[in-house]
Amino acid sequence: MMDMIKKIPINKYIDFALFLFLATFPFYQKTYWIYVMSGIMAYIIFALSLDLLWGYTGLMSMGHSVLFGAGGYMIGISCAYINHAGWVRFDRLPWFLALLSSETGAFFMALLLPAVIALFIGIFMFSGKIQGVFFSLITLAVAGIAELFVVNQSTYTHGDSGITITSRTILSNSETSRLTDFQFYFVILAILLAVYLFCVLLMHSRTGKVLKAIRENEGRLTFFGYKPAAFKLFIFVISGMMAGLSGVLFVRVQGSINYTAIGINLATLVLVWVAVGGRGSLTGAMVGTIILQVAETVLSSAFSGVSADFAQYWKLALGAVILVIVFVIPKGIIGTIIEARQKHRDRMRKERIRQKEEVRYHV
Amino acid sequence: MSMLAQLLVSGLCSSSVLLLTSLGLVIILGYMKVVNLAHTEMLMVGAYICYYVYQGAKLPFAAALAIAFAASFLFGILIERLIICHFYGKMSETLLATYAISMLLKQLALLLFGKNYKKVDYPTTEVFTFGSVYIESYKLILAGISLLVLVLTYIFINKTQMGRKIRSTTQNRTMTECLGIDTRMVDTITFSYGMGLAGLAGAAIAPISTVTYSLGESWLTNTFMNVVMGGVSSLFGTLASSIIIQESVSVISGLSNSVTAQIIVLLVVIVIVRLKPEGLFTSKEKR
Repeated sequence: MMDMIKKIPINKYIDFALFLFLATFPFYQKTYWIYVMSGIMAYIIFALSLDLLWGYTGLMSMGHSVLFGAGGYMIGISCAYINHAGWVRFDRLPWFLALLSSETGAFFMALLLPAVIALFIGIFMFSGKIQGVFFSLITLAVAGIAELFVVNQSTYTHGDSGITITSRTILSNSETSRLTDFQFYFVILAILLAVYLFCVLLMHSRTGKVLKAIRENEGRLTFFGYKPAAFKLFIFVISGMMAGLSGVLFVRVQGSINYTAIGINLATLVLVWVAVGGRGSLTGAMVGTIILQVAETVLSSAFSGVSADFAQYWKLALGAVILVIVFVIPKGIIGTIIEARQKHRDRMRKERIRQKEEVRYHV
Repeated sequence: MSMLAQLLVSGLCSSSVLLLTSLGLVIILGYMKVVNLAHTEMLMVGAYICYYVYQGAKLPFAAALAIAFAASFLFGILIERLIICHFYGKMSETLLATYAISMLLKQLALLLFGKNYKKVDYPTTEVFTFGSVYIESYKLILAGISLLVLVLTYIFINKTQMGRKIRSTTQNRTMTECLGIDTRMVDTITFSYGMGLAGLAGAAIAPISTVTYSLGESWLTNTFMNVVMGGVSSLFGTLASSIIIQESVSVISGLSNSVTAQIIVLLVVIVIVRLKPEGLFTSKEKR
């Protein structure tokens, strides 16, 4: 029994502590912090989806927010249409958005559209053997264009101002049915837990091992007869759907969505969360997101009296943080902890072996 | 018909601008395999230098260009020696580090110069008319600058001693080192030359754009798309893809609007990159 417990890697303990913390958090906090934490948990799902893609498979997507925003906007447009928001000038949704008129349809679309976008980009990129940096650059360009596109299509997206929604439920879009912050917090926590368990299962399955092999040595995997392109496409679509889901939750929590949720800013921000926490482990993505987002919220409320332009200084500090991270702990906070622990274990094992040998020589 | 001619001519002008703004990126990516996300922020820095030197201090425009190039070159040396040289061969780290630099540059510009737009006057204001086609003379000058920079870069890379060192370092670093060439110095020169070109381009485009801290963002998508399509380490590939991208954007935006044009062109670029992953005109030389 003790051996089994000892064998559990350290990051699982951190995960457990994290979920325990999240589950007890709303009982001793004010409503404002429950609301903030709900948003952060939606972001955590987003960070997890990027971690599957970047940390595990080695595909550095610099436009992941497109998939996040696509999910969010589907819900936003659906709500605006059903509740007849003031700016809506169209009577009927066009055929490609027709599903949005029903509640489950909107939820379905919010998962489907990111998957389709990921599928389209993925088919072209992975079958064409576009690797490494070109994948990053093209996804970056997609994010840039998506931002322009959303601002431009103001008939459906309300342009610069974005969409405000008032319903805070999982499916329903009507304005009257609305969960409290407290209730909705646990809805998101449950979804986060489900997503986390899904990620753990996926990464411990055979597929997960192949994905890690793609990151380590794609050429050798091809020699073994695997088709890396198919696996990459699979994980890109899965990750896209997760990003779409997080977009849905985020819109529900935040109550609004605008073009910043789809553009380069968020796409690079999520990279920073994952990089700070440590890519290649689910714990890293979660911890990085929590640390940076909580820090931003705390600092911005602390400095709100001092300077009106807190966001500028925060971004400046964030830039410095990234530099420090890539210089000092390129594996991220959790990555470094795991590595240190591993080294410690190796040293202990060597020590034990040496002691045994000494005993043998003396006898 | 005349409208089409006008669109084609203005497309040609914007192609030259795109070429100028992406050259530095191509140099750094092609010869050093480093993606410089801070590139577009250097455009912004160059534009600010142009504003303060040309508009503020009333020095001639050519001086503004020269100072922008020199300042960005020096900044490039600093950045390469301090940060970039630690991350060669590590893609994710390079992207994160250069992104951090771009973030720092942008926020510093915001803090130092404020949110206000600054406008740089056109050095020449004449407008030429050929039949029904109008060309602003400054656009012609820009096209001239951009071609001149392209030719000079070609000469620098292919005909000079330094260029030979740069090419040999790209092809075989170990062998180059064995021949007694300081490859670290070569890296620094290559990187700062690319940064210098970015600064120069920024100063040159300052009159046709509003100078503000977010100037870099607006160029990000286009320059990176251009580099992806043109293929790295091929100067004339970049020339060709600049012309293709901007001509099609210009013509399509004449028919509908500019965002639709950009989306269509992006999709086309993705398809082209699928068909020719190495870029349009990658040289066939053996590595």
